[in-house]
Amino acid sequence: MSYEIPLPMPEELQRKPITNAAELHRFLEEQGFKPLSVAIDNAGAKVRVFFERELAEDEKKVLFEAVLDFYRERIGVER
Amino acid sequence: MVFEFLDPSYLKSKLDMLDISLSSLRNALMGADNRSLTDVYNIVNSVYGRLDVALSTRASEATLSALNNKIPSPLGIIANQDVIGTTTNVLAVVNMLTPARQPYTMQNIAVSTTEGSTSIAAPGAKILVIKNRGDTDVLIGINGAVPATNPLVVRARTVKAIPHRGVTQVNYRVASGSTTIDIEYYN
Repeated sequence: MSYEIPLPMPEELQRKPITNAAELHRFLEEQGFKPLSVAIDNAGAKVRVFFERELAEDEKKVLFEAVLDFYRERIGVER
Repeated sequence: MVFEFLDPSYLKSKLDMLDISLSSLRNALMGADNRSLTDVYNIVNSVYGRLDVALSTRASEATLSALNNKIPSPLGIIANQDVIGTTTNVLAVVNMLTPARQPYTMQNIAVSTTEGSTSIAAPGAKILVIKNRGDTDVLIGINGAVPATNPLVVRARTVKAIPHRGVTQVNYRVASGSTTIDIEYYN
């Protein structure tokens, strides 16, 4: 099961790609998720997170917010 | 008749060179315990006789039995496994490259000239399989960025399997154009 999270401001990723998916993976684990894999598509400005099982609706929301929080912090943008 | 004898002064000079008596020399060789060379031979022979016997005659069966299973094997022991029809204990060397967990596949990962990255949960992939589904070669970095020179290449429409101690991140890009890859991992 995978979830695709679009990232805003794709030009930022073109300018400064995130090439360390393991870092986002660790961040999501710290938030309580257990992803199998995290794929960062800098060109497509999106992140895919793979799980063993389907997430509940509230878990999905938390996941999306966690990914966006990580992204904002990486590009230096306030919420 | 001719007499032949030593000059007494010459004889005395030679006798003076013997600075201890023969009995003193004997006593010195025999030592404080008054052992003869025969005694020494008998003692050495007795020690040899005690060495040249089975170990079990030196340590009781109870002593040896007490040592049994007290010494841990650095290789590990698989107990009570069925080996060729018998139940026994075997020593086993565990191949750390042998996957022991559920394998997973991540399909249709987009690859462009901008480097992308996919993580793999700990302990990482012991066997990593990358399938290039497109017509452009993919340049690969394992556990880090794609090397600027001589990176691993997964050629167009090919599959590359990589045994590794633990791949926790795969980075990828193409020199031009785009493609998609599938990543399978076994850990």
